[in-house]
Amino acid sequence: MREYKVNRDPNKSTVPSKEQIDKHKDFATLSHKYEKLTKRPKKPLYKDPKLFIALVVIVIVAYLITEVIDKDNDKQKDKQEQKDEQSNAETSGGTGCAMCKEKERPKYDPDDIEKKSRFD
Amino acid sequence: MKFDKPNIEINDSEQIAKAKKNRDAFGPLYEKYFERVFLYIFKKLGDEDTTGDVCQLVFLKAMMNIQKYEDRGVPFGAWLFRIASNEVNMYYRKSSKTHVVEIEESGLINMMGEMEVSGDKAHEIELQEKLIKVLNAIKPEHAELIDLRFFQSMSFKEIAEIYDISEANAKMKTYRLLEKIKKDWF
Repeated sequence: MREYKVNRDPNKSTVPSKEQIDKHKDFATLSHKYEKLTKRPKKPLYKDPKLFIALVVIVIVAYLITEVIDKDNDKQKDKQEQKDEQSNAETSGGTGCAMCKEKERPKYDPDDIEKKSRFD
Repeated sequence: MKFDKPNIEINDSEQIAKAKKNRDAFGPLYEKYFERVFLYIFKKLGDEDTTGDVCQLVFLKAMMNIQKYEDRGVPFGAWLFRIASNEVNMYYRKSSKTHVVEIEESGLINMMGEMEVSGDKAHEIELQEKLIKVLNAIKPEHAELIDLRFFQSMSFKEIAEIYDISEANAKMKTYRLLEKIKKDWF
């Protein structure tokens, strides 16, 4: 927020003097800040012991996470397979139903019989 | 506050080309524009130390983005003022305290003259105080335009270069704003 105020004193200036402004002028500090912000670090990340340990920890944690996820997926797959097997066994378990037996009976084509008899 | 002299522009473009290759060549540009940018920011913030910090930040950003600067008729000074304006607005957004900015009475008198308002001495101070209240209440982007024209004494050409608009557009915007202020004022 800005609030204006009128300076009615003719002897008092509203702006700082040249000396006051020059006090804030410092190109060396500016260059240093610029270097700090833009230059790449002299030491590569993997050569810094602390950063190296941090990188190793990150890699290990990532590996463990993927392992846990893989195991979970395997377990779920196993469960699914077991369920599928169970349901298959139930459907082919011979309930004695005439309709089901009808479905189970292999279908044959009259043309196939003709072909067979020709070869015979 | 002039930054449109042709001989200065030639030197600027040479210096900018050098600074794009070698950042140490930014030094002369810094020396040349520091005072103007400092005063520009000071007139918006009103505090010397804060102005110093914001001014350094402006030049740091200019140094980092000098590759992006293309001389398409916009003077380097106007480009710097644009960065400064953004930084000041950002500072205001972050800061919660109110900054008191002292302005010259002459700026207000000039503004009143543009609005064709005048009165006797005693009445004039009262009018000015009322005008200050209106100025404190207007939107920041509108206040900026008034600030540039009347308190930073910039020409319409310079304002147009900062906002990247035509001179006629800058003039129109200012006069429309003055009309609005006049309505709120009375």
